[in-house]
Amino acid sequence: MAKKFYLPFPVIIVLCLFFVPLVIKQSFIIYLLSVSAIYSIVGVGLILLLGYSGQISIGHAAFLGIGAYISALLTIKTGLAFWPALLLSAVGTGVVGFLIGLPALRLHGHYLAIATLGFGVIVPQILLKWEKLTHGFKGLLPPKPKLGSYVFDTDASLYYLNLVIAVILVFMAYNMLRSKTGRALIALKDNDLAAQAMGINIARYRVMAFTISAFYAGVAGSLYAHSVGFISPYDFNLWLSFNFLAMVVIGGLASIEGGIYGALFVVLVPALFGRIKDMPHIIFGVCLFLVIFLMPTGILGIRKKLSSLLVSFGGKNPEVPVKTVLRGRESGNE
Amino acid sequence: MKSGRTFLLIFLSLVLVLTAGCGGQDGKQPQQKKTADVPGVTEDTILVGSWVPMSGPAAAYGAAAKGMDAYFKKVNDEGGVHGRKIKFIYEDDSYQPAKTVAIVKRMVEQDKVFAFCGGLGTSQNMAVQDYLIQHDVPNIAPATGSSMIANPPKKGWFALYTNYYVEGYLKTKFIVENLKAKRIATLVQNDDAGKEGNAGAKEYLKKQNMEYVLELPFNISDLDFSSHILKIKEANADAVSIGSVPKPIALFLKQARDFGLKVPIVCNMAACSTETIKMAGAAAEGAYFFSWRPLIEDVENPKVKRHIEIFKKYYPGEEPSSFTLGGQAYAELFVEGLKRAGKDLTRDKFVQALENMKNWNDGLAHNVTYGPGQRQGQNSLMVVQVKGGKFVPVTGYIEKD
Amino acid sequence: MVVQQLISGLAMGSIYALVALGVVLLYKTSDVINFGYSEMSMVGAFVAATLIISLGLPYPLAFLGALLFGALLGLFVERFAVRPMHKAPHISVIIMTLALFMIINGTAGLIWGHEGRAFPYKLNKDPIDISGVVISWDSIVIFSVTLLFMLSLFLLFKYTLIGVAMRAAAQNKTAAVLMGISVNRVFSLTWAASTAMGIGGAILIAPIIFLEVNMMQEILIKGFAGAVLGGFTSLPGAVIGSLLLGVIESLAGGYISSDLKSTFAFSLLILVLCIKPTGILGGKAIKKV
Repeated sequence: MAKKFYLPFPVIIVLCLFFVPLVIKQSFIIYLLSVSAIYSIVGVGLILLLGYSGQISIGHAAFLGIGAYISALLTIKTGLAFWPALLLSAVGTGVVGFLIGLPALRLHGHYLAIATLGFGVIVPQILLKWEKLTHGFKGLLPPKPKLGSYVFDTDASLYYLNLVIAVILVFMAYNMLRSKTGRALIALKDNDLAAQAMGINIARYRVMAFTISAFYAGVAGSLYAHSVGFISPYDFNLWLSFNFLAMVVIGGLASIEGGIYGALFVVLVPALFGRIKDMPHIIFGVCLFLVIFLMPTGILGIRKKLSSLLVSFGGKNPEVPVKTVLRGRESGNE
Repeated sequence: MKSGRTFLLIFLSLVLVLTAGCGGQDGKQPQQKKTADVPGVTEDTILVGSWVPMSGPAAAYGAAAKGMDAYFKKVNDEGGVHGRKIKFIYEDDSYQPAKTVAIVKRMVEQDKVFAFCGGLGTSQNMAVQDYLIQHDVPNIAPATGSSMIANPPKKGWFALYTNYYVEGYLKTKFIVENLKAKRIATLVQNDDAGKEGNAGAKEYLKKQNMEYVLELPFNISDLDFSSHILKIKEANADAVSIGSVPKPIALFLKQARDFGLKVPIVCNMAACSTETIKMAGAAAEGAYFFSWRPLIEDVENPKVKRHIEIFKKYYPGEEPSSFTLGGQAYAELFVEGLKRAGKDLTRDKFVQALENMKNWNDGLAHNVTYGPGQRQGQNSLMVVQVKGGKFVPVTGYIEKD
Repeated sequence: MVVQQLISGLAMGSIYALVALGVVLLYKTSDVINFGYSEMSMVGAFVAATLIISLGLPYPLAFLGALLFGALLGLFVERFAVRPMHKAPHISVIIMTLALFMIINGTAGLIWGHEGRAFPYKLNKDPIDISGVVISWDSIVIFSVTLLFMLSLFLLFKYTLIGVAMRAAAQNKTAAVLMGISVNRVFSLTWAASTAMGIGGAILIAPIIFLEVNMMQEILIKGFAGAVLGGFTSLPGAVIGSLLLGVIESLAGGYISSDLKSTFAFSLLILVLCIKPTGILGGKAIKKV
């Protein structure tokens, strides 16, 4: 593990977010930020997978759904408390991620993309069909989380809950990237053959990336279920998966903080335009287009420029050079 | 961590700008004198909220909001209700419950709506159920046929049109009693509408000591029904019962014709839309449908005529449809409730007024009746058949016994 | 019954194949996966319908008009959206096509509305019935067009100058430029051709699945799956994979479960990929050092 205590920039941002409920009283904004916190957990996991290990997942909403259903079913059917359910859903989803990671070892690029897309199509259909357990379309109403006798039933309290867990997970991700595992992942990303020559077990780290990514999505799923308070199979459809993908690309794949910016973007921007009649889809599409078009490295790129303008930044960031994140199209093909 | 502080400042100001952007609207409305502090009600306005999908797979249903809007505008132009004009706000939720929750919270806490009208979708309504009950905000005519809206009854929740369960019951009843079918095959859509309708259908069949000869599930996104149709032919069914939305129904009707399936096909109310006939064309001929209100094709009907006039006046250049017609029906119920609640409007009085509604027929809906513990307004449907490219009534309104 | 299931499966499969071909063509030369493909094709079908209804053009002219529109749309997208991003990572280009998807879908909804309607032209012929096995004429036309497209693309790649240029651009951009090939022109051409193909497909499919803004989405996803199943880089592979997907779906629908057919189809896809990671006819994945 890391020798020095490392406080990364995104953690500072998230700390700022702690003060938001003191300033803002409208609960829908708190709720939206709460959803952003959940999505950013997914985003961080997806960046570990896509940005670092270089494996794509187009069906990531399926992991969120699995986590949400495990947690909801455990609390509703067995009466388990929220906290163990959260842990179990994370572990359970991680196991599914592990199982998906195994065949993914043999797949690359577009083949992996379509295989994970297939996974994203299958999971909601199975959740729907397995009515005895999941209540199918009727959905489930998971209870609000509790800590001792305290119930997280206001938006602000749920927001703090999600935020704290998001901070812990972001922090964990940062420190993991500074460990041996992280360096191995980065080496893998840069050049897997060279990494192998250096004695890094490629297969092991690839599967590990899938497992960790699914673990993160599982935590997010559990938080989603108990925060939104209602889940049904098609809440976790391909559209959400595409949103997640857009989220990490917009945020920036080069560092896990991109997941946080991306989550804020995909949750808050559509909310701004929801009342413009007939137009919300188009406007969000145009925003997405402009961000990708003008900032190929995502919001992260802008943040970097800003910070280098202001002050040179303390602490070393275990970041991947932007160039190497998914081979640029210019570099010629095999 | 010097930069940390700089960024803290930048970030906080960003958040503030953002919230100012979000909250732009409530700054615009000057605080007017309020009557006894009822949210959304002032001396001369009532604020009504709604959510519909305007993008994504269910975007077609979003037109209902325009139907509501047109009717509210018409009421306003005639002087409003008890001197108050209705302000109607609605927002796109892309049919995603997580978004609906945010929209509803914003409308309740920031805009301070008096009540909701015609909020669309089963999952969407279920996702906001606890919140609306907790905040005592009435939810009028949610646009879903799920029986979960009225069952169990919730104080401020008033379901308008006949639910899927009753629909399924009436459907098989019609097939057995009017079409004299003995061997019924059914296609059940894999969602709440399909499942609930099927449960209702089975209640009737059980009473008659009958069973389906064939029961096949399908998905709303299915494009190919050939294997379903082959099995129906194999089972030698003499009637088919199917429920879905226009596109799958039109696909089924068209493919049934291609495969020479000649038995009567009985479809549901959600598919009873001009859209279905437009798509299926000649293949729709002879198919039966159910409807809870007059049809938009029935231009001779004074109620439909009125809707077309109203809609074209406020949305010139747009076509009235089944969805806009439905939207008006929701708005009519809402306005009627406001009228009956009287000048001193409160949420309790509004709920009380609706609860006392008996056999109300002035709107597009039929025999709307509520009562204490009775939150399902309409329980009847009529059967129509496609003849010469139009829906033609077969029966009057029939009711579950 | 089995024969009919097979025929129905092939009919659906050839619809997927038509879309898969355009996707593979684009991927083979310019290395881009276009998620906006479904919407670009859909718009073309609407353009054809509008030409028929508003201008009263006969079907063949409207068809050609829509193809021309498609070529222009493809050129436009390549020139102003794809080419400026030539230095961006792959994944960014994929997300850009998702943005295109939203913009085109939303705009089409604004112009033509979200309600479905019949395509204003259809083959006025009853389906063929050979001792109980029914084949619709639409399916026969689509099947033939798919084979025709596949064959002509195959020949184009193999024997024509432009085809050789396309292959060269696909294999090594720098070398192709050195050989005097205008890579940009090759890309423009590919985009124009692939979009026009997608539109041609959408117009043929529209009478079967109706004209509607979301009409092509399900088909694009199945087309992707079919293409991957057959091997993403191979044109015959894309067709065979798509046909296979259609048949598997149809058989699963007939004999296993009518609502889980795509679940079975995708499970099988994943299984096939685990055994042969580059699809059935796909070449060996080359490891880049």
